[in-house]
Amino acid sequence: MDWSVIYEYRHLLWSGFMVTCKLSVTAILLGTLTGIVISMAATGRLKWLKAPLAAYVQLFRGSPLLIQLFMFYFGLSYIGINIDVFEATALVFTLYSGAYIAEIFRAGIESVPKGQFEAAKALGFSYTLLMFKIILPQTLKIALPPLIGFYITLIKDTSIASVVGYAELLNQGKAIMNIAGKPFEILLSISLVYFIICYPLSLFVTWMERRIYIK
Amino acid sequence: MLLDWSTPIRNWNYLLGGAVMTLWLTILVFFLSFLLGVILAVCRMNKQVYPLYLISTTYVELIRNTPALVQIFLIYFGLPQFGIHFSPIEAGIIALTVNNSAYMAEIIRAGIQSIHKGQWEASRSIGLTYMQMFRYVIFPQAFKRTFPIAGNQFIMVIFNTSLLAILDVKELTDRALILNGQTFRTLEIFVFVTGIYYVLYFIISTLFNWTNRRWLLNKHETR
Repeated sequence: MDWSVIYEYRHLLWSGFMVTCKLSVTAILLGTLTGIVISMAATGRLKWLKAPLAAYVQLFRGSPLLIQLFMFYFGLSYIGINIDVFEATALVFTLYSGAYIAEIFRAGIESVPKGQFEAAKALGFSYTLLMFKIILPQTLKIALPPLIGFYITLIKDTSIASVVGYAELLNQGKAIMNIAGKPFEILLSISLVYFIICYPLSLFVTWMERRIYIK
Repeated sequence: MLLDWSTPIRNWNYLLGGAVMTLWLTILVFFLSFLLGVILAVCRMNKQVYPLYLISTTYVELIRNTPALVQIFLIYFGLPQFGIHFSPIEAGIIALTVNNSAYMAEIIRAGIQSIHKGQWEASRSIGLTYMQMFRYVIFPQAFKRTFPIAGNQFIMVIFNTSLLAILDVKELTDRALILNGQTFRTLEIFVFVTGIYYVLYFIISTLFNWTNRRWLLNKHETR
């Protein structure tokens, strides 16, 4: 065991860590936005939207992230659309997380008692106001633990982007392995970085679930 | 740019073989990780034997908070440093089992701990032995509650096997990559293979839902 390799290549690892953070934050923000919009549309009154939205959610929840990544990254350039690796990865991760988060929010919206909708209607609330003032705040309370739980999954899943050569943490690790060897030390250090990010989040989820359960 | 679907269709048998491989891997990994998960769950529920509790808890938390891909790399590229060599398929099965067993442990533990305390007390008061208690009272209820969650986990394992394409394990994703390298019909192949995965997902999730509704859902269950 020789840990000097970590110190020696700390700049590569750090840049990989920053890229992992960038991709995670992008996917979390855009995916959550997509998910909320889609869950609202799927539970809303526009009937013709429901089928295509359901198809999108089903497709992205019904296939592995890796094959989605190949489909978009290799497939788009194949039909002549120029897309760089960050755009392709960000797009796929947004669509992928959007589908899962839409499902989490849909379950949350449907768990809000029907009387809430009816009461708001009786008071003459517009649909937008009803959603943002009454339904979504209640939804968030129910959806928050699974939502943070999915964020953990998403942060871990960003490592899959290394397969298409996206320069995130694991990919930088592979690069160092090719230069200096020492795969075990490098991979263990990378695991530790993910653990330091994900473990506090998962403790937070457990704590939240317990609080809801006691209530 | 005209899309030509003949390539994936002509290689249908080759891709279907990949799907069968994917399913085999999933079933094997799921079975092994279930066994390991039971052991881990038992260790995690007994704080009396503290060392076992500590080891199993550490294991579960470490595995659940690090990426599966890094675990695969650790086992395939990291262990040879200590003279432990695995073939790609062995490394893949071991890594996915290690990964999934941690999730299974949590699912099993949550299932058993969700059973109301009164059930234990009631079965003790009618004089059941510990084994009978588990066999006739706790297990059936825990099984019913865990089934849908375990079904979702099974589907997660299907998706995780696609990661083994990186080790050249000849499952569905790997075969898509090989076919792509031979024919360069990129979009058609990947769309087609995504479709195969979706069909697999659809069949299996429908099967689980049906089983759950038909045999397991019990509307009169007391909590």
